[in-house]
Amino acid sequence: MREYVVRKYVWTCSLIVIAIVWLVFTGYPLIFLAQGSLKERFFESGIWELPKHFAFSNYAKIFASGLLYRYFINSIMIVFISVFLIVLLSSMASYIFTRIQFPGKRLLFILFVSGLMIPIHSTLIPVYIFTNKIGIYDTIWALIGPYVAWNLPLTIFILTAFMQDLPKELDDAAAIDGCSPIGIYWRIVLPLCKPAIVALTMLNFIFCWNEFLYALILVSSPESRTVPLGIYTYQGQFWGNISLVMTVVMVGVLPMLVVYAFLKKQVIRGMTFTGLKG
Amino acid sequence: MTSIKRAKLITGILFMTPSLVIYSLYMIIPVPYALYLSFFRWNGISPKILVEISNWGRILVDSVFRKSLLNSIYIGVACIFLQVPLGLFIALLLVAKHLKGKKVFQTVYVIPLLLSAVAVGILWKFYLDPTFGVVNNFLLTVGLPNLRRPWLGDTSTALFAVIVVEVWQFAPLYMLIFGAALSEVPQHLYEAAVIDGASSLECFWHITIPLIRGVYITATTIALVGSIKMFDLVWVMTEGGPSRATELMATYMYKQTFHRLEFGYGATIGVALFGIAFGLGILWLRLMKHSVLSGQKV
Amino acid sequence: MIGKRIGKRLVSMLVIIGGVLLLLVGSSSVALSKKVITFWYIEPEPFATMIEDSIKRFEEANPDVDIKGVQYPHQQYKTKIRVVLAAGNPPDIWFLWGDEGVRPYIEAGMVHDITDLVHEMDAMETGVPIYDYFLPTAWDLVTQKGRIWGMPGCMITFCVFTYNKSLFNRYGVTIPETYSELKSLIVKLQQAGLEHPVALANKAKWAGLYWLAMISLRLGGIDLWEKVRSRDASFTNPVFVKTFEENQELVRMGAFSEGFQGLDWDAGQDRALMYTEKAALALYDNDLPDYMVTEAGTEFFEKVDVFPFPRIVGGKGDPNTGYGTPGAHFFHVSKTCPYLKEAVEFIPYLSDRIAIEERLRYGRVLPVKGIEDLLVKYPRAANIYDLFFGFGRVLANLDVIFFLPEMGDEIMDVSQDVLGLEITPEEAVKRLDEAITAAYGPLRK
Repeated sequence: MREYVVRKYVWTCSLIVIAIVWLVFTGYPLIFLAQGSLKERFFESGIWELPKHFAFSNYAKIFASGLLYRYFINSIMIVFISVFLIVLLSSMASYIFTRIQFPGKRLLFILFVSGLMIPIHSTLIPVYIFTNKIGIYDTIWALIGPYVAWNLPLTIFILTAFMQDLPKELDDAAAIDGCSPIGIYWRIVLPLCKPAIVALTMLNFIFCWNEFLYALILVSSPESRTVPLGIYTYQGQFWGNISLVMTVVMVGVLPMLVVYAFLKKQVIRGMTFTGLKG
Repeated sequence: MTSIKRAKLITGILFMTPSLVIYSLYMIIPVPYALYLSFFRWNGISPKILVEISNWGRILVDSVFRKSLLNSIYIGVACIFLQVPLGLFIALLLVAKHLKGKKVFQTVYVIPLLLSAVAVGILWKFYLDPTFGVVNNFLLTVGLPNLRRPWLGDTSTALFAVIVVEVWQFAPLYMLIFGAALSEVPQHLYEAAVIDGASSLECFWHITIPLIRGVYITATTIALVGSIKMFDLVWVMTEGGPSRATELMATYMYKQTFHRLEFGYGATIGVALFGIAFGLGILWLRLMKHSVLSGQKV
Repeated sequence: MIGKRIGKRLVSMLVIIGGVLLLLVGSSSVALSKKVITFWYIEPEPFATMIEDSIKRFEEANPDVDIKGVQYPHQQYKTKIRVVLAAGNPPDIWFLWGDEGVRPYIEAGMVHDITDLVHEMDAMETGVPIYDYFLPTAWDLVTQKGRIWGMPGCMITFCVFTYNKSLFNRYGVTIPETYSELKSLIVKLQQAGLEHPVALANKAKWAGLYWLAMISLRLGGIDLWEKVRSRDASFTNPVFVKTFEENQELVRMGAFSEGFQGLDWDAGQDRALMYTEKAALALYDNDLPDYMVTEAGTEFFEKVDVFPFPRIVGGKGDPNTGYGTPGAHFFHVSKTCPYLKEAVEFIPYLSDRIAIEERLRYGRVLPVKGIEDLLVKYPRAANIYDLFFGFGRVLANLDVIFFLPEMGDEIMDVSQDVLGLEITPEEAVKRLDEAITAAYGPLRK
């Protein structure tokens, strides 16, 4: 009995030690970031010391310097619209993939999924030219198209796997009752996919919010910029002021942290659905 | 055509078209465009010069491309054999019965995932600074000054450093994936096995592993494909240097296009990248005997 | 849960409606009768504000024109400008660094020939034609085939050592007159405890280029570089081999910052070493001290001064040669710009009297004629002015000006490989020869 207790104790301790090691490895860089952002000058105090005085002025400087609010609004609008469209369009496409037979279905599916493998820089010039041609360059609408298109592959991939596993009996029952395919989609399948949809909404939110390259290419005036682009521009303006750069990074990260704090459960569920099915 | 069939046809077209349209405009068209460009020499300004397959001939003998391909594969392999298993390990850690404070650990562990690649790159650039960064100062403080390195400045450590950062950011993703998968494994299987006298290790090997196999394969596929086209993180930290120690196919493509003004050759690299990612993805799945669409073993 | 999802959809709908409204509202507030000119630049604060002020002054004098200026960080600008130029849709006014770097764009007919306009139009209210407003040398890098294609508007830059006077005093070292004195200086500082006295951040590769340029200039002179470009000389010339050998010797001595190949100049990772007194000097452009004010405060800034690269005994190059440019950024007007005259009228405003004086305060000198009276007030700027115009000749920057982009890029790669001790000097010059043959043709017999 004694031996068992000792073994359990040793086991528990080792677990905690390992968990803490990983915690430090994961978390210390973030502490470092926060610490640096509060220093007046990056090298004024040693690595292990707290800043001489907490330079909240760094944060004040960032928030005061202009269009941060505009960037936030732009990002929110773009991301909300994009995510809404991604989820809607993907669910529709996945529904067709799983419920309706047609020739070339497999090929079409592979076509969508292979989008995961396209390197983003290959698309820059054609997308830029196209965006210009239809006259939406430098507006928030310019980004919605690419954001939706880029996230369709993964979302369709996952939703298809999920819908596949839903019992078909409900569909058949509804069909017998005279429900149209669209009705089945709206009333039966979609509600059943709720957990996956909520999760994918979160996942796509994170992808779209942090996206940078398309924002750089398709937007130029400050009024249309998104938050990541704004951060990078701030970084470009404040260059060698390392503390200020860290502050900027912190400010950029904060929205995600806030969203995460509120919707912890959903976010974690969102992440897990990437691999669960299939 | 019966009315049901017609309804299905209409629904099918209605539902598929929007996705197809947007996808085609932004994703499908660029790939053939890149292929088209790969047969030309173009600096982005003057008219294109047709060079037929000479870009492709060039890429076959290009030692820098080979290096970038190798580097990309290193990272892919590291992701498969380091990131994913590490994620699994942490997931197992978190479901272990005797661990306290799981929620706290899990919360912090997930945070790196929420950051954008650019933010992570900037953060770690300073973290790894040879003089002011935490890593070297830590080694100094604990009495291991000889282990200090200019992590991002030395060709022998740069790729390793990049891999560590990549693991830092994405291992939590796999932790979550496996966490969910593990929670779906029916408890009664373990209970039955324990009654039959199975040790923890045997439980793990014969129950856990087989049941999360599908997930493991999907996870490694995503890791592999994603790491092949990695760009953001490396670019912010090293720009593919020093001296191409961390050159990946994506960074090489970028440089050829925007620094050397070789849009044609850059497009060639892009197409090659796509082809390789695609090929490796299919190969890996075939290897694991797994069918994507039907979600079962082939 | 269902409520949440419906709620989310509702919010999304509202957002879409709101977005559409915003767009409509936003677009109607733009006065459609104004001429809009887009203008991209990269100068960070505090110069960005100065540029915006120049824009305001121009708009006051020309109320029917609206200049939309957009500031980009350096690296992002380079990507973006190439994408938009490749797509044929550049901003109305953009910049490069002149000479070979911009030649492909000129030859492709993407920028306006402004020769006549700069001779006819007056600069602001000065009554002086734009051409005569600037110093004659300022036009060199934008003159091709006898025509003018761009306008200066940034600053004079050239390569000098920036050093910490108080550190030099503390360790009893003085400004070196010769290159060997420089090396002894480095050794002396190392013995005094500064392991890596020379700050260098070579991640972006152009930083190490200064060492290549200056040493080769002292050994072989600017003629050699020009001959190489015109294909009358080859990189296998012993001057270049010796230059690379010297570079590698400095590396082996440990002269440069720890991990310099991975340090980021933009992030100031090497400047931080100077601020913490772990490094005493650095070889960059004359504008390096400017950044130090914002980054380290005036107290540190006071300790800093500049000295030119010393001569090399036995070198064939004129020790009075500079490495830099009289204008840095040169602004071009795209062929797609519908308001050529207004654009040409605007650009000099970036260098008007007020802008000049504001920059002089920061030690930045614009290449404008007749500013002696202002220079008197700012001794640091006056020093820079004198230094630059005291040079016999000036070699333009090798990475973005002197050579076509692909050649400039290869030089940077080779330089980084040399400094990383990855290749021998012989291999380095061989690579350079191959690259220049590809870019400029074979060696002339």
